[in-house]
Amino acid sequence: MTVSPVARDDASAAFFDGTRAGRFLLLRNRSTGEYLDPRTPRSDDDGLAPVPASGTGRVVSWSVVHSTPSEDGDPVRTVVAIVGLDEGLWWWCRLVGVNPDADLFDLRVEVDFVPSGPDPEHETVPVFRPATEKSGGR
Amino acid sequence: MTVRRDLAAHRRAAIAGLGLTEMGKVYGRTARHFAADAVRRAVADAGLDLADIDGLLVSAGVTNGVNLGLQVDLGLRNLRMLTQLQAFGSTAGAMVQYAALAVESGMASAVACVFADAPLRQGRATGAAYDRRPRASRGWTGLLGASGLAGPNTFYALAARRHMKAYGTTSEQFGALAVAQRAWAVMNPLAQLREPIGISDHQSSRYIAEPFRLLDCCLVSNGGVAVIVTTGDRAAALAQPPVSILGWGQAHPGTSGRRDEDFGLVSGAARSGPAALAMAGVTLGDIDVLELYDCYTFTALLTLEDYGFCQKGEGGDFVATPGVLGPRGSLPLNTGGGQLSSYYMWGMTPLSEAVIQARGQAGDRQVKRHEVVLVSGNGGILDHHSTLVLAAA
Repeated sequence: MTVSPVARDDASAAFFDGTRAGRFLLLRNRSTGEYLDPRTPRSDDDGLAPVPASGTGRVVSWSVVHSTPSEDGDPVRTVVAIVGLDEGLWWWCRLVGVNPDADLFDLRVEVDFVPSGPDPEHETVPVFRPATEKSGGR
Repeated sequence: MTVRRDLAAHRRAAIAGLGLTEMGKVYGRTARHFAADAVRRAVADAGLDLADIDGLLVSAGVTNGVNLGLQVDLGLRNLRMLTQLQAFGSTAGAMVQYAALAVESGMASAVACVFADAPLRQGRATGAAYDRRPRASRGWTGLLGASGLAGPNTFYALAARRHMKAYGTTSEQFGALAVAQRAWAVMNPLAQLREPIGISDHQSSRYIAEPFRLLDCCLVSNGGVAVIVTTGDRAAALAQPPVSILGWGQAHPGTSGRRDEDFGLVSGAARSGPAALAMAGVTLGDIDVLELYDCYTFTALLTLEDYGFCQKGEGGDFVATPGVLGPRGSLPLNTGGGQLSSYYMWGMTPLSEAVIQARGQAGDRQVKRHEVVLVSGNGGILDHHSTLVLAAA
Protein backbone atom coordinates (compact mmCIF):
# COMPACT_ATOMS: atom_id res chain seq x y z
CA MET A 1 0.00 0.00 0.00
CA THR A 2 1.37 3.42 -0.95
CA VAL A 3 -0.35 5.24 1.88
CA SER A 4 -1.80 4.17 5.21
CA PRO A 5 -5.55 3.98 5.92
CA VAL A 6 -7.53 7.17 6.43
CA ALA A 7 -11.23 7.55 7.20
CA ARG A 8 -13.49 10.54 6.61
CA ASP A 9 -15.00 12.88 9.17
CA ASP A 10 -17.76 15.46 8.64
CA ALA A 11 -15.34 18.18 7.53
CA SER A 12 -13.64 16.01 4.92
CA ALA A 13 -16.68 14.04 3.68
CA ALA A 14 -17.30 16.11 0.53
CA PHE A 15 -13.62 15.96 -0.42
CA PHE A 16 -13.50 12.17 -0.10
CA ASP A 17 -16.73 11.84 -2.08
CA GLY A 18 -14.76 13.59 -4.79
CA THR A 19 -11.65 11.42 -4.59
CA ARG A 20 -13.83 8.27 -4.75
CA ALA A 21 -15.15 9.61 -8.05
CA GLY A 22 -11.63 10.43 -9.26
CA ARG A 23 -12.00 14.16 -8.73
CA PHE A 24 -9.67 16.47 -6.78
CA LEU A 25 -12.04 19.07 -5.34
CA LEU A 26 -11.04 22.56 -4.34
CA LEU A 27 -13.38 25.31 -3.19
CA ARG A 28 -14.03 28.30 -5.37
CA ASN A 29 -15.54 31.65 -4.50
CA ARG A 30 -18.51 32.09 -6.86
CA SER A 31 -18.19 35.85 -7.10
CA THR A 32 -14.42 36.42 -7.15
CA GLY A 33 -13.34 33.15 -8.78
CA GLU A 34 -10.65 32.72 -6.10
CA TYR A 35 -9.66 29.13 -5.31
CA LEU A 36 -9.56 28.07 -1.67
CA ASP A 37 -8.16 25.04 0.09
CA PRO A 38 -10.75 22.27 0.57
CA ARG A 39 -10.00 22.35 4.32
CA THR A 40 -11.41 25.90 4.56
CA PRO A 41 -14.13 25.85 7.25
CA ARG A 42 -17.56 26.14 5.59
CA SER A 43 -20.59 28.11 6.64
CA ASP A 44 -24.04 28.56 5.15
CA ASP A 45 -24.13 31.13 2.36
CA ASP A 46 -20.32 31.37 2.25
CA GLY A 47 -20.51 31.71 -1.51
CA LEU A 48 -18.11 28.82 -2.02
CA ALA A 49 -18.62 25.90 -4.36
CA PRO A 50 -16.64 22.66 -4.66
CA VAL A 51 -15.00 22.52 -8.09
CA PRO A 52 -12.74 19.87 -9.63
CA ALA A 53 -9.15 21.11 -9.86
CA SER A 54 -6.95 20.61 -12.87
CA GLY A 55 -4.98 18.19 -10.72
CA THR A 56 -1.68 19.49 -12.04
CA GLY A 57 1.09 21.53 -10.54
CA ARG A 58 4.79 21.77 -9.78
CA VAL A 59 6.97 20.58 -6.89
CA VAL A 60 7.76 23.50 -4.58
CA SER A 61 9.68 21.43 -2.05
CA TRP A 62 10.16 17.75 -1.24
CA SER A 63 11.66 15.47 1.37
CA VAL A 64 12.71 11.84 1.28
CA VAL A 65 11.68 10.36 4.62
CA HIS A 66 13.71 7.39 5.85
CA SER A 67 12.12 4.87 8.15
CA THR A 68 12.45 1.28 9.26
CA PRO A 69 8.92 -0.07 9.65
CA SER A 70 10.04 -3.13 11.63
CA GLU A 71 13.28 -3.93 13.41
CA ASP A 72 14.40 -6.63 10.98
CA GLY A 73 12.83 -4.96 7.93
CA ASP A 74 14.61 -3.03 5.21
CA PRO A 75 14.77 0.75 5.46
CA VAL A 76 12.01 2.43 3.48
CA ARG A 77 12.24 5.76 1.67
CA THR A 78 9.05 7.70 1.00
CA VAL A 79 8.88 10.96 -0.89
CA VAL A 80 6.60 13.74 0.31
CA ALA A 81 6.19 17.13 -1.30
CA ILE A 82 4.57 20.50 -1.35
CA VAL A 83 2.92 20.83 -4.75
CA GLY A 84 2.05 24.27 -6.07
CA LEU A 85 -1.24 23.60 -7.85
CA ASP A 86 -1.96 25.38 -11.11
CA GLU A 87 -4.89 27.04 -9.29
CA GLY A 88 -2.35 28.84 -7.08
CA LEU A 89 -2.80 26.78 -3.92
CA TRP A 90 -0.26 24.57 -2.16
CA TRP A 91 -0.99 20.90 -1.49
CA TRP A 92 1.09 18.75 0.88
CA CYS A 93 1.12 15.16 -0.33
CA ARG A 94 2.82 11.88 -1.17
CA LEU A 95 4.85 11.85 -4.36
CA VAL A 96 5.00 8.53 -6.24
CA GLY A 97 6.80 7.30 -9.32
CA VAL A 98 9.80 9.57 -8.81
CA ASN A 99 13.50 8.91 -8.34
CA PRO A 100 14.17 9.80 -4.68
CA ASP A 101 17.78 10.67 -5.53
CA ALA A 102 16.84 13.20 -8.22
CA ASP A 103 16.40 16.95 -7.87
CA LEU A 104 12.61 17.13 -7.91
CA PHE A 105 12.31 20.91 -7.65
CA ASP A 106 9.84 22.39 -10.13
CA LEU A 107 8.94 18.92 -11.45
CA ARG A 108 5.64 18.99 -13.30
CA VAL A 109 3.23 16.61 -11.50
CA GLU A 110 -0.38 15.43 -11.70
CA VAL A 111 -2.82 13.91 -9.26
CA ASP A 112 -3.57 10.21 -9.05
CA PHE A 113 -5.93 8.43 -6.70
CA VAL A 114 -5.04 5.39 -4.62
CA PRO A 115 -7.02 3.36 -2.09
CA SER A 116 -5.71 4.01 1.42
CA GLY A 117 -6.72 0.64 2.86
CA PRO A 118 -8.74 -2.55 2.32
CA ASP A 119 -11.85 -1.66 4.34
CA PRO A 120 -14.95 0.08 2.98
CA GLU A 121 -14.36 3.03 5.31
CA HIS A 122 -10.81 3.52 3.99
CA GLU A 123 -10.93 6.47 1.65
CA THR A 124 -9.33 7.03 -1.72
CA VAL A 125 -6.38 9.39 -1.31
CA PRO A 126 -4.86 11.85 -3.78
CA VAL A 127 -1.14 11.37 -4.48
CA PHE A 128 0.97 13.11 -7.10
CA ARG A 129 3.16 11.59 -9.81
CA PRO A 130 5.21 12.98 -12.70
CA ALA A 131 2.86 14.49 -15.27
CA THR A 132 2.19 12.74 -18.56
CA GLU A 133 2.14 14.79 -21.76
CA LYS A 134 -1.64 14.47 -21.93
CA SER A 135 -2.01 16.45 -18.70
CA GLY A 136 0.15 19.26 -19.98
CA GLY A 137 3.64 18.33 -18.81
CA ARG A 138 5.00 21.68 -19.80
CA MET B 1 8.03 53.37 23.54
CA THR B 2 10.41 53.58 26.47
CA VAL B 3 13.82 52.28 25.60
CA ARG B 4 14.35 49.96 28.51
CA ARG B 5 18.11 50.29 28.53
CA ASP B 6 17.57 53.85 29.77
CA LEU B 7 15.62 52.66 32.81
CA ALA B 8 17.51 52.16 36.04
CA ALA B 9 18.22 48.43 36.41
CA HIS B 10 16.14 48.21 39.57
CA ARG B 11 13.06 49.23 37.59
CA ARG B 12 13.44 46.35 35.13
CA ALA B 13 12.32 42.79 35.81
CA ALA B 14 15.16 40.33 36.16
CA ILE B 15 15.80 36.62 36.19
CA ALA B 16 16.98 35.80 39.71
CA GLY B 17 16.94 32.03 39.75
CA LEU B 18 17.62 29.09 37.44
CA GLY B 19 16.82 25.47 38.16
CA LEU B 20 17.82 22.54 35.98
CA THR B 21 16.94 18.97 36.85
CA GLU B 22 18.89 15.98 35.63
CA MET B 23 18.21 15.91 31.89
CA GLY B 24 18.43 13.41 29.08
CA LYS B 25 17.78 9.70 29.33
CA VAL B 26 16.51 10.01 32.87
CA TYR B 27 13.80 7.41 33.35
CA GLY B 28 11.25 6.61 36.00
CA ARG B 29 10.21 10.18 36.72
CA THR B 30 7.14 11.97 35.41
CA ALA B 31 7.02 15.42 33.84
CA ARG B 32 5.19 16.64 36.98
CA HIS B 33 8.03 15.40 39.13
CA PHE B 34 10.61 17.13 36.89
CA ALA B 35 8.58 20.36 36.97
CA ALA B 36 8.36 20.48 40.76
CA ASP B 37 12.05 19.60 41.06
CA ALA B 38 13.01 22.37 38.60
CA VAL B 39 11.00 25.02 40.48
CA ARG B 40 12.47 23.99 43.84
CA ARG B 41 15.97 24.18 42.37
CA ALA B 42 15.32 27.61 40.82
CA VAL B 43 13.92 28.97 44.09
CA ALA B 44 16.93 27.66 46.01
CA ASP B 45 19.31 29.02 43.37
CA ALA B 46 17.78 32.48 43.80
CA GLY B 47 18.08 32.31 47.57
CA LEU B 48 14.32 32.45 48.00
CA ASP B 49 11.82 30.21 49.80
CA LEU B 50 8.97 28.49 47.98
CA ALA B 51 6.59 30.65 50.01
CA ASP B 52 8.04 33.73 48.27
CA ILE B 53 6.64 32.56 44.92
CA ASP B 54 3.34 34.27 44.18
CA GLY B 55 3.14 33.60 40.44
CA LEU B 56 3.48 30.36 38.51
CA LEU B 57 3.58 29.91 34.72
CA VAL B 58 3.54 26.33 33.50
CA SER B 59 4.59 24.96 30.10
CA ALA B 60 4.09 21.34 29.10
CA GLY B 61 5.97 19.54 26.34
CA VAL B 62 4.98 16.94 23.81
CA THR B 63 3.59 14.57 26.45
CA ASN B 64 1.44 17.33 27.97
CA GLY B 65 2.50 16.05 31.36
CA VAL B 66 2.30 19.18 33.52
CA ASN B 67 -0.60 21.46 34.31
CA LEU B 68 -1.96 23.80 36.96
CA GLY B 69 -1.87 20.95 39.46
CA LEU B 70 1.80 21.84 39.87
CA GLN B 71 0.71 24.51 42.35
CA VAL B 72 -0.61 21.87 44.75
CA ASP B 73 2.35 19.56 44.07
CA LEU B 74 4.58 22.39 45.29
CA GLY B 75 2.25 23.36 48.15
CA LEU B 76 1.99 26.93 46.89
CA ARG B 77 -0.88 28.79 48.58
CA ASN B 78 -2.67 31.94 47.47
CA LEU B 79 -0.89 32.53 44.18
CA ARG B 80 -1.66 35.85 42.52
CA MET B 81 -0.99 34.52 39.04
CA LEU B 82 -1.28 30.96 37.66
CA THR B 83 -1.54 29.99 34.01
CA GLN B 84 -0.51 27.24 31.64
CA LEU B 85 0.86 28.61 28.36
CA GLN B 86 1.25 26.99 24.97
CA ALA B 87 3.13 28.58 22.12
CA PHE B 88 5.31 25.49 21.60
CA GLY B 89 9.01 26.28 21.27
CA SER B 90 8.39 29.98 21.78
CA THR B 91 6.69 29.42 25.15
CA ALA B 92 9.73 29.78 27.41
CA GLY B 93 10.51 33.24 26.03
CA ALA B 94 6.83 34.18 26.22
CA MET B 95 6.60 33.07 29.87
CA VAL B 96 9.50 35.35 30.80
CA GLN B 97 7.80 38.22 28.95
CA TYR B 98 4.47 37.79 30.78
CA ALA B 99 6.29 37.31 34.08
CA ALA B 100 8.21 40.55 33.48
CA LEU B 101 4.94 42.38 32.79
CA ALA B 102 3.47 40.91 35.97
CA VAL B 103 6.30 41.90 38.32
CA GLU B 104 6.75 45.34 36.76
CA SER B 105 3.03 46.05 37.16
CA GLY B 106 2.94 44.77 40.72
CA MET B 107 0.56 41.95 39.88
CA ALA B 108 3.05 39.48 41.32
CA SER B 109 6.46 39.81 42.94
CA ALA B 110 8.22 36.54 42.16
CA VAL B 111 7.07 34.37 39.26
CA ALA B 112 8.33 30.85 38.60
CA CYS B 113 8.28 29.87 34.91
CA VAL B 114 8.71 26.15 34.33
CA PHE B 115 8.90 23.67 31.46
CA ALA B 116 9.08 19.92 31.93
CA ASP B 117 8.62 16.90 29.72
CA ALA B 118 9.33 13.17 29.79
CA PRO B 119 8.85 11.84 26.25
CA LEU B 120 11.64 9.24 26.42
CA ARG B 121 10.77 5.79 27.65
CA GLN B 122 13.29 3.09 28.37
CA GLY B 123 13.54 0.57 25.54
CA ARG B 124 11.79 2.77 22.98
CA ALA B 125 13.58 4.54 20.15
CA THR B 126 14.20 8.27 20.61
CA GLY B 127 12.65 9.00 17.23
CA ALA B 128 9.37 7.48 18.37
CA ALA B 129 8.99 10.11 21.07
CA TYR B 130 7.94 12.85 18.66
CA ASP B 131 6.19 10.68 16.07
CA ARG B 132 2.61 11.45 16.87
CA ARG B 133 1.09 9.54 13.98
CA PRO B 134 -2.48 8.81 15.04
CA ARG B 135 -3.34 5.12 15.18
CA ALA B 136 -6.69 5.70 13.52
CA SER B 137 -6.18 8.34 10.84
CA ARG B 138 -9.25 10.44 10.26
CA GLY B 139 -10.11 13.61 8.41
CA TRP B 140 -7.63 16.21 7.20
CA THR B 141 -4.91 15.46 9.75
CA GLY B 142 -5.39 11.80 9.01
CA LEU B 143 -4.92 12.45 5.31
CA LEU B 144 -1.61 14.21 5.96
CA GLY B 145 -0.39 11.41 8.21
CA ALA B 146 -1.55 8.71 5.81
CA SER B 147 0.41 10.48 3.06
CA GLY B 148 3.61 10.33 5.12
CA LEU B 149 3.50 13.90 6.44
CA ALA B 150 3.72 13.34 10.18
CA GLY B 151 6.00 14.80 12.80
CA PRO B 152 8.21 17.87 12.81
CA ASN B 153 11.17 16.23 11.03
CA THR B 154 9.27 16.03 7.75
CA PHE B 155 7.75 19.49 7.90
CA TYR B 156 11.03 21.19 8.78
CA ALA B 157 12.77 19.16 6.07
CA LEU B 158 10.36 20.61 3.51
CA ALA B 159 11.09 24.10 4.85
CA ALA B 160 14.85 23.54 4.73
CA ARG B 161 14.75 22.12 1.21
CA ARG B 162 12.89 25.20 0.03
CA HIS B 163 15.59 27.42 1.52
CA MET B 164 18.27 25.32 -0.18
CA LYS B 165 16.58 25.58 -3.58
CA ALA B 166 15.91 29.31 -3.23
CA TYR B 167 19.33 30.37 -1.95
CA GLY B 168 21.74 27.55 -2.69
CA THR B 169 22.10 26.60 0.99
CA THR B 170 23.87 23.23 1.35
CA SER B 171 23.91 20.29 3.72
CA GLU B 172 27.58 21.00 4.45
CA GLN B 173 26.60 24.49 5.61
CA PHE B 174 24.01 22.98 7.97
CA GLY B 175 26.82 20.72 9.12
CA ALA B 176 29.05 23.68 9.96
CA LEU B 177 26.48 24.71 12.59
CA ALA B 178 26.30 21.20 14.05
CA VAL B 179 30.11 20.91 14.25
CA ALA B 180 30.53 24.34 15.87
CA GLN B 181 27.85 23.69 18.47
CA ARG B 182 29.34 20.33 19.37
CA ALA B 183 32.66 22.08 20.00
CA TRP B 184 30.88 24.22 22.59
CA ALA B 185 29.12 21.17 24.08
CA VAL B 186 32.48 19.52 24.71
CA MET B 187 32.98 22.18 27.41
CA ASN B 188 29.47 21.91 28.89
CA PRO B 189 29.10 19.41 31.74
CA LEU B 190 25.31 19.59 31.28
CA ALA B 191 25.48 18.48 27.63
CA GLN B 192 24.32 15.02 26.58
CA LEU B 193 26.68 14.82 23.57
CA ARG B 194 30.27 15.87 24.30
CA GLU B 195 32.35 13.97 21.74
CA PRO B 196 33.82 16.39 19.18
CA ILE B 197 32.61 15.91 15.60
CA GLY B 198 33.83 17.05 12.20
CA ILE B 199 32.00 17.86 9.03
CA SER B 200 32.57 14.30 7.76
CA ASP B 201 30.72 12.93 10.80
CA HIS B 202 27.79 15.16 9.90
CA GLN B 203 27.90 14.14 6.25
CA SER B 204 28.04 10.44 7.06
CA SER B 205 25.30 10.48 9.68
CA ARG B 206 22.18 8.69 8.50
CA TYR B 207 19.33 10.50 6.84
CA ILE B 208 16.21 11.12 8.90
CA ALA B 209 14.16 13.14 6.42
CA GLU B 210 16.25 14.45 3.54
CA PRO B 211 17.85 16.95 3.50
CA PHE B 212 18.18 16.39 7.28
CA ARG B 213 20.68 13.91 8.63
CA LEU B 214 20.72 12.71 12.21
CA LEU B 215 23.20 15.45 13.17
CA ASP B 216 20.86 18.15 11.85
CA CYS B 217 18.21 17.17 14.39
CA CYS B 218 17.88 18.11 18.04
CA LEU B 219 18.07 15.67 20.90
CA VAL B 220 15.03 14.48 22.78
CA SER B 221 15.36 14.79 26.55
CA ASN B 222 13.49 14.11 29.75
CA GLY B 223 13.80 16.78 32.41
CA GLY B 224 12.68 20.19 33.57
CA VAL B 225 13.96 23.76 33.69
CA ALA B 226 12.62 26.71 35.67
CA VAL B 227 13.52 30.36 36.04
CA ILE B 228 12.41 32.88 38.68
CA VAL B 229 11.47 36.35 37.46
CA THR B 230 11.28 39.13 40.00
CA THR B 231 11.74 42.88 40.21
CA GLY B 232 15.16 44.33 39.57
CA ASP B 233 15.63 45.75 43.05
CA ARG B 234 14.69 42.46 44.67
CA ALA B 235 16.90 40.46 42.31
CA ALA B 236 19.86 42.66 43.26
CA ALA B 237 19.47 41.61 46.89
CA LEU B 238 19.31 37.87 46.18
CA ALA B 239 21.89 35.11 45.84
CA GLN B 240 22.76 35.29 42.12
CA PRO B 241 23.96 38.02 39.76
CA PRO B 242 20.68 39.39 38.35
CA VAL B 243 19.99 38.95 34.66
CA SER B 244 18.02 41.97 33.57
CA ILE B 245 15.19 41.58 31.06
CA LEU B 246 16.01 44.34 28.64
CA GLY B 247 13.62 43.77 25.75
CA TRP B 248 11.35 41.28 24.13
CA GLY B 249 9.16 40.49 21.16
CA GLN B 250 6.91 37.85 19.70
CA ALA B 251 5.76 37.16 16.16
CA HIS B 252 3.13 34.74 14.94
CA PRO B 253 2.94 35.11 11.14
CA GLY B 254 -0.18 32.98 10.69
CA THR B 255 1.25 31.11 7.73
CA SER B 256 -1.35 28.60 6.53
CA GLY B 257 0.84 26.44 4.33
CA ARG B 258 -2.00 26.55 1.83
CA ARG B 259 -0.35 28.98 -0.60
CA ASP B 260 3.03 30.63 -1.08
CA GLU B 261 3.66 32.65 2.07
CA ASP B 262 7.45 32.53 2.33
CA PHE B 263 7.34 29.14 4.09
CA GLY B 264 10.92 28.05 4.74
CA LEU B 265 12.35 31.38 3.59
CA VAL B 266 11.39 33.79 6.39
CA SER B 267 10.15 33.15 9.94
CA GLY B 268 8.57 35.26 12.68
CA ALA B 269 12.11 36.07 13.79
CA ALA B 270 12.19 38.79 11.13
CA ARG B 271 9.62 40.80 13.10
CA SER B 272 10.20 39.58 16.64
CA GLY B 273 13.95 40.26 16.64
CA PRO B 274 13.88 43.92 15.58
CA ALA B 275 10.97 44.56 18.00
CA ALA B 276 12.95 43.14 20.91
CA LEU B 277 16.09 45.10 20.02
CA ALA B 278 14.10 48.33 19.69
CA MET B 279 12.43 47.80 23.07
CA ALA B 280 15.80 47.11 24.65
CA GLY B 281 17.42 50.07 22.95
CA VAL B 282 20.31 48.03 21.56
CA THR B 283 21.49 47.07 18.09
CA LEU B 284 22.87 43.82 16.69
CA GLY B 285 26.36 45.19 17.27
CA ASP B 286 25.68 45.33 21.01
CA ILE B 287 24.90 41.59 21.21
CA ASP B 288 27.70 39.65 22.90
CA VAL B 289 26.17 36.17 23.00
CA LEU B 290 23.42 34.49 20.93
CA GLU B 291 21.33 31.59 22.14
CA LEU B 292 19.09 30.59 19.25
CA TYR B 293 16.45 27.89 19.10
CA ASP B 294 17.91 25.03 17.08
CA CYS B 295 15.41 22.21 16.79
CA TYR B 296 17.29 21.72 13.50
CA THR B 297 20.51 23.23 12.22
CA PHE B 298 18.36 24.98 9.62
CA THR B 299 16.24 26.72 12.27
CA ALA B 300 19.25 28.49 13.77
CA LEU B 301 20.53 29.43 10.31
CA LEU B 302 17.17 30.92 9.34
CA THR B 303 16.97 32.86 12.60
CA LEU B 304 20.45 34.34 12.03
CA GLU B 305 19.22 35.64 8.67
CA ASP B 306 15.91 36.92 10.00
CA TYR B 307 17.56 38.70 12.93
CA GLY B 308 19.88 40.39 10.45
CA PHE B 309 23.27 38.91 11.36
CA CYS B 310 23.66 38.30 7.62
CA GLN B 311 21.65 39.07 4.50
CA LYS B 312 18.59 36.98 3.62
CA GLY B 313 19.73 33.89 1.79
CA GLU B 314 23.35 34.20 2.90
CA GLY B 315 22.96 32.22 6.13
CA GLY B 316 24.68 29.19 4.64
CA ASP B 317 27.79 31.07 3.59
CA PHE B 318 27.77 32.97 6.87
CA VAL B 319 27.80 29.96 9.21
CA ALA B 320 30.37 28.10 7.09
CA THR B 321 32.82 31.01 6.99
CA PRO B 322 35.90 29.99 8.99
CA GLY B 323 36.30 32.02 12.15
CA VAL B 324 32.65 32.91 12.64
CA LEU B 325 31.19 30.07 14.74
CA GLY B 326 32.59 27.84 17.46
CA PRO B 327 34.48 28.60 20.69
CA ARG B 328 37.20 30.58 18.89
CA GLY B 329 34.84 32.28 16.47
CA SER B 330 33.73 35.88 16.31
CA LEU B 331 30.06 35.06 16.99
CA PRO B 332 29.39 33.11 20.22
CA LEU B 333 26.29 31.12 19.17
CA ASN B 334 24.65 28.36 21.20
CA THR B 335 27.51 28.26 23.63
CA GLY B 336 26.23 25.26 25.56
CA GLY B 337 25.85 23.13 22.45
CA GLY B 338 22.21 24.04 21.90
CA GLN B 339 19.39 21.59 21.40
CA LEU B 340 21.54 19.73 18.91
CA SER B 341 24.16 18.70 21.47
CA SER B 342 23.26 19.71 25.03
CA TYR B 343 19.64 19.05 26.01
CA TYR B 344 16.20 19.57 24.47
CA MET B 345 13.99 21.50 26.85
CA TRP B 346 12.17 23.44 24.13
CA GLY B 347 12.77 27.21 24.62
CA MET B 348 14.35 26.62 28.01
CA THR B 349 17.49 25.31 26.30
CA PRO B 350 18.58 28.67 24.84
CA LEU B 351 17.15 30.57 27.82
CA SER B 352 19.01 28.55 30.45
CA GLU B 353 22.35 28.88 28.66
CA ALA B 354 21.71 32.62 28.24
CA VAL B 355 21.23 33.01 32.00
CA ILE B 356 24.37 30.98 32.74
CA GLN B 357 26.45 33.07 30.29
CA ALA B 358 25.03 36.44 31.40
CA ARG B 359 25.87 35.58 35.01
CA GLY B 360 29.40 34.62 34.05
CA GLN B 361 28.96 31.10 35.43
CA ALA B 362 29.69 29.08 32.28
CA GLY B 363 33.09 27.79 33.40
CA ASP B 364 35.33 26.60 30.55
CA ARG B 365 32.88 27.82 27.94
CA GLN B 366 32.31 31.25 29.44
CA VAL B 367 32.26 33.98 26.81
CA LYS B 368 34.45 36.91 27.91
CA ARG B 369 32.06 39.65 26.90
CA HIS B 370 28.60 38.68 28.14
CA GLU B 371 26.83 41.95 28.84
CA VAL B 372 24.00 41.53 26.33
CA VAL B 373 22.54 38.16 25.34
CA LEU B 374 19.98 37.55 22.59
CA VAL B 375 17.65 34.56 23.03
CA SER B 376 15.19 33.09 20.55
CA GLY B 377 12.31 30.65 20.79
CA ASN B 378 10.62 29.03 17.83
CA GLY B 379 7.48 26.92 17.87
CA GLY B 380 5.26 24.92 15.58
CA ILE B 381 6.61 24.67 12.05
CA LEU B 382 8.18 28.16 12.11
CA ASP B 383 4.74 29.38 13.28
CA HIS B 384 5.61 31.07 16.58
CA HIS B 385 8.62 33.12 17.59
CA SER B 386 9.74 34.83 20.77
CA THR B 387 12.82 36.94 21.41
CA LEU B 388 14.45 38.10 24.63
CA VAL B 389 17.26 40.57 25.10
CA LEU B 390 18.91 39.90 28.46
CA ALA B 391 21.63 41.89 30.18
CA ALA B 392 24.07 41.27 32.96
CA ALA B 393 22.73 43.86 35.39
